[in-house]
Amino acid sequence: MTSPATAPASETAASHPDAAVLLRGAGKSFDDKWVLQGLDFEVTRGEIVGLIGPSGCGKTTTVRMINGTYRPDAGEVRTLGRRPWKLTSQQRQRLGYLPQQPVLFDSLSLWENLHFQASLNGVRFRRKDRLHELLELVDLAGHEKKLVKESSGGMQRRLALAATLLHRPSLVILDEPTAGIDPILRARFWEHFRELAAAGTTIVVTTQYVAEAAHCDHVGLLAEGKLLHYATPAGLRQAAVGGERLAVTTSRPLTDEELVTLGQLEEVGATLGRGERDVEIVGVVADAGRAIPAMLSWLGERDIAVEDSEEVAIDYEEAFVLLVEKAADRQNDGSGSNLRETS
Amino acid sequence: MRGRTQLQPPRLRPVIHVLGFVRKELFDLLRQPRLLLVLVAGPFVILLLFAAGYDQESTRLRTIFVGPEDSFYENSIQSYTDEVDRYVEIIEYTSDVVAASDQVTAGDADLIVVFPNDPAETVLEGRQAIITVIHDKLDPLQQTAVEISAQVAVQELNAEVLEALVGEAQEAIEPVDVTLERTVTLAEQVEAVAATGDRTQLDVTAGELRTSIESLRRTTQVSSGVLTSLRNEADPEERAAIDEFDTSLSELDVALETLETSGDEQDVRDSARLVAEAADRLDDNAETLVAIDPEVAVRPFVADTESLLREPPNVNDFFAPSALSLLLQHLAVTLAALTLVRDEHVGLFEVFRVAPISAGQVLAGKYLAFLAIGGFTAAALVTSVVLGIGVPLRGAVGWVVLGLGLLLLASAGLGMLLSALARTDTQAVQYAMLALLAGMFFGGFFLSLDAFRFPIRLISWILPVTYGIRWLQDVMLRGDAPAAADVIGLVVLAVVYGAAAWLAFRRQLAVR
Repeated sequence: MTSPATAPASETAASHPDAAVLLRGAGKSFDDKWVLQGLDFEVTRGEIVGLIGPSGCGKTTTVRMINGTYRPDAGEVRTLGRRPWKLTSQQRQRLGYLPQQPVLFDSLSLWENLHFQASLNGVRFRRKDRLHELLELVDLAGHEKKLVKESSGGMQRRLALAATLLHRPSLVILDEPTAGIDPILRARFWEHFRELAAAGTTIVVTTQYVAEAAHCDHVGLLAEGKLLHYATPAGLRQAAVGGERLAVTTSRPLTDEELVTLGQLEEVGATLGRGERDVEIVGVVADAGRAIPAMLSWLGERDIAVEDSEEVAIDYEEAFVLLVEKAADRQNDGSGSNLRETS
Repeated sequence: MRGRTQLQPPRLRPVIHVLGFVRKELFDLLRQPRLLLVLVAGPFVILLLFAAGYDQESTRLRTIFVGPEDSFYENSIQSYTDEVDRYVEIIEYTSDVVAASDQVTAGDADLIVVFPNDPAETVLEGRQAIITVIHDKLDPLQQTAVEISAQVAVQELNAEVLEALVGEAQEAIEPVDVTLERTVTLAEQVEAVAATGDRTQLDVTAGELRTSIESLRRTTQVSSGVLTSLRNEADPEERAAIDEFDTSLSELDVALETLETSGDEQDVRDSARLVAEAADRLDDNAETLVAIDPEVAVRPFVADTESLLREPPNVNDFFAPSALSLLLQHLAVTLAALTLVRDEHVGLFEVFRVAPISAGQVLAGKYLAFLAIGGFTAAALVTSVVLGIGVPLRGAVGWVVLGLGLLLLASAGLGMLLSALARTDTQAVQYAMLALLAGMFFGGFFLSLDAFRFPIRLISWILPVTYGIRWLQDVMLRGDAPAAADVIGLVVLAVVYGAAAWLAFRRQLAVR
């Protein structure tokens, strides 16, 4: 087994002293088989980074490298400025980690489980208010005495999330916190994550719900142990379609020549086509915000009325599928390099 | 939404971590009433049943004696009942060996002792008569008991025969003091007759003296023989007296022979004087050689056991400290063996690797929890056996508390080491059961530690229960302080197992 190509990690790490999490060419192997290769991204303090990908793509292995459970076999990983497995007890106090499987004791009540997790993280004895506050957050107030074995899987996940946050960590690593949670509560969770981030908490979160990428500041798209894309949510969608998709509906169909001319405008710079109807002009441009006004102006000059114009945002599911397909195409073409966008 | 810090100051955080585990382990156990019942009430019930149900009489073997009808055996059996009573309960005497065998087969009897039909004939032929002992015991300990009982019975029978012989022989001869007095008198008469020169009278008197000497020799032969065989144990003065008596008797013989064979009157008178002097010396040492009671002659020793203990323990007393130690070791080993495996099973190890908690703090918390649970159980058990069953507690309570504390610590350490080696709950339980079995066989519960050869005996010394049993027996039954070796042993085991468990646990938590 040869090590995958990596960036000069230590210098890179040293050049980003404020990064809460930094991965440079990080890789991990088990039984001489690489399960993660060439992970290359950083998480600045106070942002939310989502790691998205299908089951088995390497999300959990990535967070375990970040929290110090796994040592990378290639590249470099820094968490809070240090190699994560070298973090001192004081530094680990600043970490909050929610494993994929909730770590709870069946025979203890929800309250007692929360107490135990609080003790693990050194939360002071006078902790009742904080415990109540978190139970409210995860919608478990009133269930304090219920035993874990008598509670549903969703309740257990919520309790585990509460346990992760109760010592107010500055770096929160959440492995699929919203799995099995109903959409309304998921929205509340994300709202709370945003509040935490606004207050300076850094959050690394994995999820199988691709749409949750919208809540993140940056998104890492993982598939088959590789980081396919790392970008802002908007950047992810752009990367999926190669730019921004727009649609303009006119009063009459444009001729082929008019379409070519319109596409050659400097602000547009793209090949335009017709949509489902003859009067619909569609295309992918670098910047829909600049392209649409230019197109409206050009059409106005030619007395062609515009009935509707919009930037067509693709959903994240579609973007995810497109990016995975592109990656597969590149793999088939023999070009295996990762896409990466710094934004 | 950053609130004020919720964390304890760093120097107090280890306390928070440790107490968190104590609380978690205690609640975890309290929420499992059945497990608590098995762990706490179970051992006590076992002790109680043992004490209530143990029948010391059951160790006596129900025995049928088989021999000829109207034989002297029937009476003899009754005569040595006292000697074998500890081992044998006599059911009946019969001449039907088949019926006796049927009773053993049916479980109504344990043992058959078959006497030979005509032992006298066999003995007269110069062979030993055989007493056959028949049993169907599987238990090697009971087999040994059978052999001991048979040996004791045969020895008693032999002694009885011998006693009869000696008694009859002694009855045939007159008392030693009478014979001695007559010998001395005759010796004086020999000297007096020799002085008169009456040869005929002298030969008659000398002949009487020789007969008297032979009688004296026979009378004192048994006593002399017994005393001679006990020479090493006899008093030096006693030994000198025996030697002098024998010497005087020999001198008397020699002088008498000279007197009888010599024709010279002067020689005869000198010999007669020597005869009288030797007879005097016999008298001087005769007190030592009185005629010994036949029973004493054939059984010069009887056992009279005295214990240095204030009150020798009965079987329940003896086994109570052993059972206590074994049960507490099993409790602590089982709880500890399951704990880390269960933590790993629920995924807590992953949290341990990330959380600001050390392996030592995790183990310390668990130790305290098991010490609390074990301590409570131990207090309940000791109170129960002392107040409920009446097992003595003669030594200081403090020693008992310290001993049980160390036993629980060492056992919990052993359990956590086993837990670190186990991969599943089932494996952990199996390891705990192995520790229990090892404790029963090698810990001194049933068999003395001296019964094991080196290096197998090392197994005994690596088990906490070995020291626990000796410690509690010393304190509770003897009223002594524990032996220094046991204190050191338990402390060393507690430290070694604790350190090994810590190292193994750290290894499990190591980054991968």
